[in-house]
Amino acid sequence: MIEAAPDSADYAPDLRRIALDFDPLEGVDLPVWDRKPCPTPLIPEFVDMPAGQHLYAVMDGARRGAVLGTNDLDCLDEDLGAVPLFDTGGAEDVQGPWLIDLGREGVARDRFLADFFAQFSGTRQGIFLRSAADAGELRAHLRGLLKVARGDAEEPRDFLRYWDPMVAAVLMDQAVMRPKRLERLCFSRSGAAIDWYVEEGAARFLHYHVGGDGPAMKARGPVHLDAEDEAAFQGLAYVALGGALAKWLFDAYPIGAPDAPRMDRIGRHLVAQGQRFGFGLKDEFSYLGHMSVHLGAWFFETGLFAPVMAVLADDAKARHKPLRGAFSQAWAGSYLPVVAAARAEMLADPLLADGPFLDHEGVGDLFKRHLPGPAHGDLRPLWRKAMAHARACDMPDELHPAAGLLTIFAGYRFYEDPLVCAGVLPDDPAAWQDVFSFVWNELKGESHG
Amino acid sequence: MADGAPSSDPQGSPPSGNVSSTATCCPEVSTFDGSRNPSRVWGFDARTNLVENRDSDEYWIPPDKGKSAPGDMMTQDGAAWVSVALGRTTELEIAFEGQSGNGCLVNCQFAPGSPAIVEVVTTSVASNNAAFQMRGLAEGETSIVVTCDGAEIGWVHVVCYPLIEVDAVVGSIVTPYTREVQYSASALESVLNHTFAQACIKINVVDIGALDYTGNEPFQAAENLGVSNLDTPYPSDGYGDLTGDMMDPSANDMAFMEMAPPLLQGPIKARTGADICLLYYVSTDLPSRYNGSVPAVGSGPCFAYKDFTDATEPGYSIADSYAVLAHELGHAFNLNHPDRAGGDELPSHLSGSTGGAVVAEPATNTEPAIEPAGKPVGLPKNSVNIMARDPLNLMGYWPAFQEQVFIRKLQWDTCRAGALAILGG
Repeated sequence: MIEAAPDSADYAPDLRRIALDFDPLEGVDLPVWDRKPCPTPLIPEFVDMPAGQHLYAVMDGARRGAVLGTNDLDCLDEDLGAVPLFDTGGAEDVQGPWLIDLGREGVARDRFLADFFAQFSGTRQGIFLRSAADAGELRAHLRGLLKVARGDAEEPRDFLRYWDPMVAAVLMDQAVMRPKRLERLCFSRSGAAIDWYVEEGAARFLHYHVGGDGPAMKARGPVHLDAEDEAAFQGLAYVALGGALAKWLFDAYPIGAPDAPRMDRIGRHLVAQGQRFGFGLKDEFSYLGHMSVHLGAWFFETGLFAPVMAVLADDAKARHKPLRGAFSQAWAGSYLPVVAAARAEMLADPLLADGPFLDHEGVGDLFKRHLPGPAHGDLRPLWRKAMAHARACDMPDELHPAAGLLTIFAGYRFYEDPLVCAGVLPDDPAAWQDVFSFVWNELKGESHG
Repeated sequence: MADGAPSSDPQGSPPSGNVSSTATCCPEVSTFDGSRNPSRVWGFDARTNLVENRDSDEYWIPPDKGKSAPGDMMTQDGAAWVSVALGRTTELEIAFEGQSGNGCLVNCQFAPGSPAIVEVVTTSVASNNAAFQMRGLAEGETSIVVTCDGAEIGWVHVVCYPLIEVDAVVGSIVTPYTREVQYSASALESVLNHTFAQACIKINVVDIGALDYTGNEPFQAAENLGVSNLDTPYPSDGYGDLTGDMMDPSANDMAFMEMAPPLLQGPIKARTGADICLLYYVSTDLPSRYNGSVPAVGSGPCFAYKDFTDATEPGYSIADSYAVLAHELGHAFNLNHPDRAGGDELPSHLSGSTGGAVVAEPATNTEPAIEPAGKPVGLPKNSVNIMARDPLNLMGYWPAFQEQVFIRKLQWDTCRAGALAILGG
């Protein structure tokens, strides 16, 4: 077992963490054949390597569909030597991580690197390794790191996705004060040193280099994650969860085209709110996302939707299960069914021919025309809430009636709801006008669609 | 904000499982079978929730499909029902598929829906096909759901019953027409308990030996009404086609079955304190056309009309008569034949399959295999009570009597009520 604490071993490897900044767009205006295989600051690392060194990449087979070309494993298998790290005989072998032997030179190698840096830099496709160890030895080394032991467990039972650059960076940073773990991570069984190259965003690689020769390797145990590691990795897990939530929502719901800033805001919003409710399962965060699509990302601030709020206020586990029933009940008991029924006619009303920018009287007339009397009472608390927030966030006064109108369709605080628009609170009158117009056009588009 | 009434289920494939940067290694699916040591199993029923399309609709096929334990425990998803006596332990065998190594199995958790009803004794599993024990804590039903990293990967339904004990006596009625039978009371008790333990009913059998009714005039009068002369050959299990005088409890409008039982069971129960009588009534001449009977469903005594020691067809023995008595005791406990079983005894997908072609069924730890070509159903007359989807049911007419020992979840409930009625009576 790898001990976490510094020890008094005779050999104490020295890990250096070197940031390699580069221009991710370097050479993109050149024809493919004139481009360098990688940005200039990385040439000494990936191209002009020391004698005997080989470059390797480790990345998910599951991503091959997204990065076809660069990560076309069928092609790589022939040209570069690609081999899965998993060895179960099942589908997970293909979906799981692959070790790609980029060697020292060659057209296929250069094309792989050029494609990577032109298209996928910063997208967490995988990590690079450099070592004198051959592919077989390196594969054996990496297979030994696939599973980690946690807590009191003696045996490794969990997969650590160390080929995800975010995970790799935490793993290496956590190893700085742990010589035995550094040995385990950075030296193959024969003692060959392994340099790790981990991207940090689209314009920086972190190079983890361990100095000196490796010791003669004894029995290789799994990496054991202790409480300090868990804390470091947990923050990472929530970042990853936010990304997964946003990706899923854009895939599964008609909330517009995905863009990185919106995805980031959606993920961070749902994770932050879910943590506030004390969620522990991804399923709970996912259900919050599902409800937010239908009720608005800030629905829990409205004071409405009592059945859902009762479940959220509970501290039970696995609340996504009781939320299913509560959500349907809350939706059906809210103003939303009435608004949904009247939506098409309301949006087509001549009063809205020039947009949603009515005064209070105009909005009142619109409601009277299309919403039954009792609905006005149901909407009153939401309206008051919307007006209060409009004043609190310095929304231009003339937009307040339109804010109330759009709120019933797009949800409370729609103007800073990343599921509806950019999700950033406007900071000047023009920006306010823009976001209202954007939301209005989206509504009209949906209505006509 | 999306328009229209939303589904209660999220769309697409939302993130699921625990929030962690490590991915817990998990099997894709978990299934249950009875223990390989039958003495450790109470009831294991893989038929009640048998799927309509075998090898297709089971919750574990394909292993990687998304699954969630159903709220309705009678859902036909292949999940098994298990019985366990209150305060006792039962043992199953748990299997997994889709794990990258046995080390992953320890990530599985086993949670009863109602922890007050059943306690999972085996809290961690380290190998495939491992023993899995649970203990009954309170009367009721619940499901044990296997989860791994937050995902539900398998389940088994459990019913916990208080143990019912029934005292039975076994003897042979000796008359000028019938003879004493050399049976083993302990072997009979073993057969009965193998069957009724499924419903957590324990049968205590006491041997009362030969009961001589030679000079009992009322009984002889009844006996005379139970004999009929058959001109048309009648197929009798173990003896081929029979004609002539033979024991026929259905003769003379069931007069024998109306007159004889009160002359037997009442006095015997009064003398022995037994709850139910199991009686051999085996002709010294031609064997009976029937194997056994009861006066009516829900009452005894239970008759066995053959001991099969003089069977003219191969493959029969006294042990077959124990199986016949188990079937008759099932009747006494209120169980009907499959063709007459209501929905409170058997699900319609089982009872509705009577008379159909019996198909291949693989062996399990608790039930023998049914051969691919379909085992012969024996006498054609019997097929009406052989369920194609549950041929080995105790209350059917499966020709291999000793294989016909299984009762299912609803039958467990029914015969327990019947046993309690007999105890109350």
